[in-house]
Amino acid sequence: MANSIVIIDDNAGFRATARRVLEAEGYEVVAEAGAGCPGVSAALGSGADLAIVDIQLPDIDGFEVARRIGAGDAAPVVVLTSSRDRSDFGSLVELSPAAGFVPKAELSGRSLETLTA
Amino acid sequence: MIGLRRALILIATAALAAGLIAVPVILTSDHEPAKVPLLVATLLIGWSFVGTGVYAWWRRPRNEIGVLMVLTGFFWILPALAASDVVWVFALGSFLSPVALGFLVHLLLVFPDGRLRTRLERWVVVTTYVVVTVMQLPGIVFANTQDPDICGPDCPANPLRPENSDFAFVFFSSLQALVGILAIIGLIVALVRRWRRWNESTRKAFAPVLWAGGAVFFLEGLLLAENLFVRSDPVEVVIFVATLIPLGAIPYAFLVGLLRTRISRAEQVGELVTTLTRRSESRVDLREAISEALGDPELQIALWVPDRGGYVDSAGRPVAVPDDGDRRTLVEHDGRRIGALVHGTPVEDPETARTLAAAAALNLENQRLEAELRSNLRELRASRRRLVEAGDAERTRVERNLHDGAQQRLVGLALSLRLAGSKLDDDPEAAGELLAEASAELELATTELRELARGIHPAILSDRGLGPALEALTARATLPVELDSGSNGRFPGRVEAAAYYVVAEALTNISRHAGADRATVTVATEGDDLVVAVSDDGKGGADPEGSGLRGLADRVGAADGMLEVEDRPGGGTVVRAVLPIGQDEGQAE
Repeated sequence: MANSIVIIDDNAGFRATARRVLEAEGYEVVAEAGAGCPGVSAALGSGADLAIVDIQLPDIDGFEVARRIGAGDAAPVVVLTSSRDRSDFGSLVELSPAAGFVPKAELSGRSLETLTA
Repeated sequence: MIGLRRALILIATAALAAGLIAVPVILTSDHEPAKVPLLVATLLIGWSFVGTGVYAWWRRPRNEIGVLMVLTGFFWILPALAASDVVWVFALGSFLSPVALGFLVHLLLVFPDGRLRTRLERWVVVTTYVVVTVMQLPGIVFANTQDPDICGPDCPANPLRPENSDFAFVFFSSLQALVGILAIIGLIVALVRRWRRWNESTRKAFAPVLWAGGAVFFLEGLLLAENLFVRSDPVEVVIFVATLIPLGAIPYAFLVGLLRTRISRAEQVGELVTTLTRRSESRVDLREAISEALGDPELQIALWVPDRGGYVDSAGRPVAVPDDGDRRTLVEHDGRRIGALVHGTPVEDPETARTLAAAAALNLENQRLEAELRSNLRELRASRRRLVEAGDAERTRVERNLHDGAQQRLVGLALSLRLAGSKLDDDPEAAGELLAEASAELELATTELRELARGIHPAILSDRGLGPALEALTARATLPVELDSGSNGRFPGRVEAAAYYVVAEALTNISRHAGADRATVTVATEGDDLVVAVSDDGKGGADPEGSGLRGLADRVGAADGMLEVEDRPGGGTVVRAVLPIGQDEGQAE
């Protein structure tokens, strides 16, 4: 099971809550980032298994983050997230190299396992 | 006008008297060989110039042409004094003998509108005046008047003349002749250039003057050249007599010219009126018709829009109208300003331009109304676009606020609650903490949603009306606000909403930009209007074109009202909206 995680989201409150939820389920959050570019570096540099990436970020969007992470060596699996509905993004989620999409309110270890299995 | 007429009668009488005085002076002369021909030439030409000049002066008081013709006439008669045998009178007459030519050159170059236009024209006029006055002086001082080539043995001896001054005389008179020839060449070039600039009708009017004047100065040039190089008496006499014919014709040529200008003006106006009635009255046609009539292909029509206090073109776009009278002709109808003709080149004949403008005034008035309508439509479209843009921007702002604020809090809340649920059995204490945090978060989300909803539309405004809504608004303001709400009744929804947002936006602006300590809001009904004013004691200088106030003006405009923003004399700003109460949309019409 993948158990080391990077959280990339510009909302600090969400990062803190997500960390508590995931840590309670046995995951280890190895890095956090508040924007896309530092997020790509953190994801590739930390050797994490998984990156949770918010789609709306202040610099580049989550799809671009997923693309850049996917292009790196030993890249972690990317899971996109948003407080918006998946349908708001049309086919962008399918077209991106991310493993899938989890609505923020439904983030849990189980939902991540389902996607990355 | 009576003053002018009396002055002109005086001038005519003076010319008559000057001519009558010349009669005995010439006839009793000891040295004048051709008394009768000189007398006839002096009186005929002199009186012709004064007579036609007085007429031209009377008909066109503001045009210099009449004055110049009168002066030419007088200075043509005065040199008769040179026939006198009294030495100083003889000297004065000799000195004045070429001055009339100076006025004549000036006259030729200002025809028909009385103005000099180019540097060359001004140079020619100034140089000629110098040649006929300043440069004439050395000749008077150094001339050996008893030399048959100059005057003759019977002429009074020159008392000023120093010994051995023959060379000085030749030098100065040759210099005068040379500069004179240069001035004449300049005159001919200037006349040719004018000719090229003119349209057919002006050419027709000017032709007699040009031919007569051109002939005079051509012969004058020959005479000067003859003086310099040939010096033969018979040739001189022939040239002089030949000069008299076109010279005598000049005043009548001017008269014909002035008359033809008037006739051609009448023709032009006639043509324009025919054109305007025959063609469809579209704006391109009107501009083209006036442009053709004036011979100014670059002519533009500017139409006055009183509401804007400025001019627009036929498409309703703002146009600049020059202050220079040469460049524009104002058009009025029944004493009201309608517009202006903006000339591509300085207008040659302002009277024709004015007459044409008057003839086209009615068509221009139609076009002006159309342009005013277009201009208003343009403004209406712009304000509609701004309102839609402002609406879109507001929706974007609300979506972002919802997404970044309440929605994020609710997402966090969902996660926290699930986490608390998972800990209830194993770690009830931690679950309790999580629930307490979640409760605080929920309260924040509720507050944010409430603020946001009120920002979209204050419920109290639609439920209870403007007075209570403004009380609530001013109570929440970040600075002390005095509310003087003189009318507590209800008004149509759009009026209440416009008034409310004027106050809300003005208070936001004051707290953000004005640096004010306090503000005052007054609401009153004045006649059929609801008047809302927000004033502050800040630094003033609000920009009515800034996006906030522009948006307010649009909103007030949509309610048929007017928004004014002014700096107060003692400091601070007043934003004032006048909103016609009228009827509510549902009841309207």
